[in-house]
Amino acid sequence: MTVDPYIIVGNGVAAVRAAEAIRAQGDDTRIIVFTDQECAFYSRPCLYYIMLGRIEWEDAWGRPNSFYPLNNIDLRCSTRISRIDPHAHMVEVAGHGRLPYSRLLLATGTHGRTPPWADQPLHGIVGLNTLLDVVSITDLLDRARSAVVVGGGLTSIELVEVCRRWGVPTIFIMRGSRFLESQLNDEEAQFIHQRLRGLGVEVLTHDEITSLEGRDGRVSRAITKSGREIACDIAGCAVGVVPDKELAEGAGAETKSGTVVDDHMRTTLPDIYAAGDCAQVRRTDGTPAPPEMLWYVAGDMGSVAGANMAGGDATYRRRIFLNVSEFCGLDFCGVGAIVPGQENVQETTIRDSRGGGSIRLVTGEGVLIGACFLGDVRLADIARGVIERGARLSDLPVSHPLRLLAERGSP
Amino acid sequence: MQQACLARPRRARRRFDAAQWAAAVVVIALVALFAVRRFADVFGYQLSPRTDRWSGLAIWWIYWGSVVLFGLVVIARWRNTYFRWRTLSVIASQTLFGILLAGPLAPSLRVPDFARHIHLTWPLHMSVITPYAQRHDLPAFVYGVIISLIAWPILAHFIGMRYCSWFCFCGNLAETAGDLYRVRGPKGPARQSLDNVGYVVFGLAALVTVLAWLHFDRPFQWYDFLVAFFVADVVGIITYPFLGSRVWCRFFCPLRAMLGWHSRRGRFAIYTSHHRCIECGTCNRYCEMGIDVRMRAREGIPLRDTECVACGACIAVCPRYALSFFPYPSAGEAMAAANVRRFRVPFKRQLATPRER
Repeated sequence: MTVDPYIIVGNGVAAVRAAEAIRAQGDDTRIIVFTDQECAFYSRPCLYYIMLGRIEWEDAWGRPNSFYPLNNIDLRCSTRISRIDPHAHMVEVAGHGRLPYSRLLLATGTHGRTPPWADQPLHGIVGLNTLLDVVSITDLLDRARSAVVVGGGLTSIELVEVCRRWGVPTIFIMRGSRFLESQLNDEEAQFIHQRLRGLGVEVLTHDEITSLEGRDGRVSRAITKSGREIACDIAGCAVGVVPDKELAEGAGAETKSGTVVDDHMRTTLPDIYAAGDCAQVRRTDGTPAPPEMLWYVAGDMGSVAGANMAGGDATYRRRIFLNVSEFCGLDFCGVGAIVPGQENVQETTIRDSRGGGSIRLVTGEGVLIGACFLGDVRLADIARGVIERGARLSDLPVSHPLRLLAERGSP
Repeated sequence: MQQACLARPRRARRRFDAAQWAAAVVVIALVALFAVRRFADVFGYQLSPRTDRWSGLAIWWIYWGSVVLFGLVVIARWRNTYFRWRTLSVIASQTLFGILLAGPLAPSLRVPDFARHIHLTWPLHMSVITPYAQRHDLPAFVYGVIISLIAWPILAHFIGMRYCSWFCFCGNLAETAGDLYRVRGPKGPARQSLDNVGYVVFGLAALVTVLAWLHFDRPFQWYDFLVAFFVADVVGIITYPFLGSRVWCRFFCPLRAMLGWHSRRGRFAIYTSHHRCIECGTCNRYCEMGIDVRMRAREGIPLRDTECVACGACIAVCPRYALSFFPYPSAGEAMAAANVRRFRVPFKRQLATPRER
């Protein structure tokens, strides 16, 4: 008797980890991976570091050439799944008929949100979400005279950083009042703004692009809400990402902003799992947690989903949030709960005397719950350890660098 | 544009830069000099006293000069604290033991015989405990046994194989002239299993040492020619530009096998942060020992059970600072307990790659 194959939709880190976890359970059933991308698995966070010249282009490939054949994984690139029939255990491959599955994993990830002005066929509108974006940005940067980047998150500042380092005059437009509103407080964001301005990047807040004009199929001019006209060759668009939940929705699974799953990564439909950026794990009180959209989170979810698909029993446990980036010559690391404006917390900010950044420790009733590092990120992982344990700062050993930091302002 | 991603491009054949050409020339000159002297030994013809003296001195001075010169190149290229200290140690040990105490200046400095043996460690330097070199020198023999079989193994237990990257004569050249080629080392599980050849060489070394004690010098001479000359000097050094800097160390060195055995069971580790790793594999690319660092980093498990020589390259090149010599307190509950008396703050983050833009 032949067993129906496992089908994985998507080919990101969650999908690859899931396939690995299935094999790690000793299950040799065929795995078919469908992806609408043109290539094998690559690491999305690598793209930025490739653009910075930190790592080699080929290093974006997350697995060796032999990964798919050795693991008996059938990779179908540039292929879309158009529909899922959960009752018949079938998927409909766009243009290729139907395929049965024994278990299905939705690891579809996200797509960049497209504002109306970006929704036109102009050469010069870029994001930093796929490997092809790297190709097109590199192509554009060589001849660009000026760039506009819209967005308020880490991807947008990555785009700014790439343009700036290439020597292209850049204007950074954000809709809100400051950069990275969800993680930085006002002081830190203003510090970044100042720093960007010092590096020649114009920062416009409370503004957005209303229309984008092109000439000869290329971006030529952007008009902002405040009425300013900006001549530009590159229009970077990084205004957030949306989980791809259409497949799950069409099949009848429960979805909120993403596909809702339990801690075993099962959706509400039998034999259908979801993992990665498109999945929202249900908390103990039943409400789905907002998707975290981090690389290691997607990887963790993928391994759990894969293990459970192959008949194992793995439970997903949320880890302490940790986000790393670097921009305008500063390292950034956010750990734990650092959302500004939380209730019942105490915030201590330690500023570098030479203006090289700051460290913000967030404590709730003496227990460290978050830490935001700008500039000197050496203690970030140590802070993660302390947050994980839920230790009070005053209970730490006297020589613990975090305690010293909180008490005397230096580790 | 899409085609660019459909097929992986074949890795472009990289040309040598000026420093790499210079290192290649030095390497070839060294091997040529080794060959001249060794063949004279084996085939029994006498070099003229002048040639003998001249070639002997040239080897010491070229070796030392290239360690110093390329050491400075390494310091300038990497711009990293750990690399700076390590390379300074490399230069210092080469100067002290390769020039002053045991090298060409030793006779004129009237260094006592004993001091010449300070850096020698069996089984890499067989002469420490074989009677082949020192038939009646008991104190030197006792010292050799202590340093080789007790001191360095104990150190390897605590600080890993730093002997190889901070101190060793072969390592000194590998970490300076060879550093320029470090990305060329063979990688992958098949290549890593070849590491066990080192244990075979260790067995041979032990065997010929015992035989030499029993006054069978002939196998010892063959070992000396085959391993110490052919594999260590010719194969080990001349393959730098093609197979990276540590071919000898990884596949053949008996001392590496011995220290590695202790280091694997010891406390040395490189700690990894699962949260930070983005699986780029730059650590693997720069690892001269061909260790799969990425696999450990993406699982968040510390790099323990390996023959890491603690060169620090993976830590320096990781764009996300996912690796560290220092344990993150979260890495184990052991650190979480209050019995840790002193916490160490890691080095200031310095992202340094030789091709920094």
